[in-house]
Amino acid sequence: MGLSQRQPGPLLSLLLMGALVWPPPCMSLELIPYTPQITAWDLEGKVTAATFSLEQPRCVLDGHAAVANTIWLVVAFSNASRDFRNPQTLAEIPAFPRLLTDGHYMTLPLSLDQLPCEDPVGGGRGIPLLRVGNDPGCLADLREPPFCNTPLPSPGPYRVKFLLMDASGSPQAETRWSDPITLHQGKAPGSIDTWPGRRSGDMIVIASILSSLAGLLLLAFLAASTVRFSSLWWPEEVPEQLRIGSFKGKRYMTHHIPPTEAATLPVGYEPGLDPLPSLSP
Amino acid sequence: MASAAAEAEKGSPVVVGLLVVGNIIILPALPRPVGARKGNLFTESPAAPAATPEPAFLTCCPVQLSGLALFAETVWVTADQYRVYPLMGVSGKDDVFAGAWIAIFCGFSFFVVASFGVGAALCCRRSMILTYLVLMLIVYIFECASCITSYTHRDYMVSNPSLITKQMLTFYSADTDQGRELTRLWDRIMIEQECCGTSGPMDWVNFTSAFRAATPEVVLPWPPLCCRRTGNFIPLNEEGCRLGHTDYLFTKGCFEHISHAIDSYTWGISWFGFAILMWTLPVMLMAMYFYTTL
Repeated sequence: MGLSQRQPGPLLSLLLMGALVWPPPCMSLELIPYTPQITAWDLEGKVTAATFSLEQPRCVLDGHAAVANTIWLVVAFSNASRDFRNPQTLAEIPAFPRLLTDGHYMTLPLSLDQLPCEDPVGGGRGIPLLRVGNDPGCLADLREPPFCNTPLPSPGPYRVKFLLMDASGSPQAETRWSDPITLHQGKAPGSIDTWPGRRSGDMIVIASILSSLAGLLLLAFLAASTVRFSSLWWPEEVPEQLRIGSFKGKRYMTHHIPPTEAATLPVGYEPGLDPLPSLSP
Repeated sequence: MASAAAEAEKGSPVVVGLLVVGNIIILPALPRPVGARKGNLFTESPAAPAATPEPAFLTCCPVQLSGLALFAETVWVTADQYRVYPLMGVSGKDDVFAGAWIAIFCGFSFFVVASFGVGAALCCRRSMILTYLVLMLIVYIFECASCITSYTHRDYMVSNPSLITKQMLTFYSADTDQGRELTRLWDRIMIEQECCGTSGPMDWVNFTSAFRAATPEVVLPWPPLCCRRTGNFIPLNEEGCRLGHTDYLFTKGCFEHISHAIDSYTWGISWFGFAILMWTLPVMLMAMYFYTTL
């Protein structure tokens, strides 16, 4: 009984060993030392809210891919990229709707002759890049194969890699996963703060100087009109009252002064030095 | 006998001369009318010329000519050669133009009141000088208000690009009257100035907008007028424009042009008015002093 119980153990372990040793397809997959990245071209629309543009993997796949191979682009959410298992047959290739359910899909099937290894000529000819999300009308068009390059629904972040598959759909080689690519998320225009902030120095100068000048003019005008009109309200100033009787000393008449004027002269008056306001015309 | 007091009063003809020349340009030597001075206890210095040499050099910008210049310049502002009024009208901050209208009337009033002031200074009548002073004060205060208002609203509009950007995103391609008006304005500016957006085409990518609601981003992330075109108004390369290649897309922002336009108007109203008011101040102070000596 003990033997019969022990016997399935080693057999089971042998089967398990055999299962492990059985070469799974991913183990034989060649890893191309290339990281997909956003294009280095100076384009304003490299990364937008629903698309991004990768540089074309020219010259990198030449040694690894046969002519009949198809180069697929795998797009996955960053957190789902680790769990991605390469499809083994053509039927297993995930299409775009799988992005929303499983978090990954494959698109942009290319052949090697579409990626010739030569210096890309900019300008008049097409700009060499791969734009993910380039085809907005794809899903609606039923005649198209389901491997649509339709715009991405959310800002991501996404990671991509290239996967080489032969005609039967078994993968041959793959590149590394790219860095996470986050798409632009448009902010609402209502979130823009339109407060001008600190008042500009010019405005403060103009406002303060002009206000003070206007105030100064008003004050000066009031002062001028007060000086002008004060003579209407206040009586004429009478001459200083003569202090008669305060001098008890002898009065000396050194000049001929008419008696009428002598009585009104103040003490200590010397003609010619201190002119009185003349009351005579 | 009255020599000491007469010294101060000898300035009176000088003051009249300064006032006159301050109000207009150099006059030939006019005889100053002697009569009509009540309560004047002092003798008048004889044969003082009406136009002494100093005032001629002091008055480079007389109030009359300044008033006319202000009037003409603010008429130019109101004519709006850059046609940026809809930007301000839609935002409600259009008092740059309100300042211009006030300055038109103030400029013309300066001209009229200064002409009257010339006559008042020559006639040496107290009532006329008082009227002149009161009228000039009123016009002065209105002109101050115009300068301050104009500059304050310019600050709202173009001290930073936020207001223009927000307005563009909200109204471009919108289906309202204001939207259509602004769409026409932006289309014209983008074609004439070869620019796109306020700070650049990325405004359209970084923010959602009425334009984005109408046109999906994949079709075109920015308005089609941002694409460079041939002489026949055909885009040079639609794919290149969609991707944003600098050869096929205008990458300059339009804010520089708009702020230049609004700044030109504001400088012409605020700083020019400020300069005229600075000149008018000594003329008015002199008139007040002259009024007290009559």
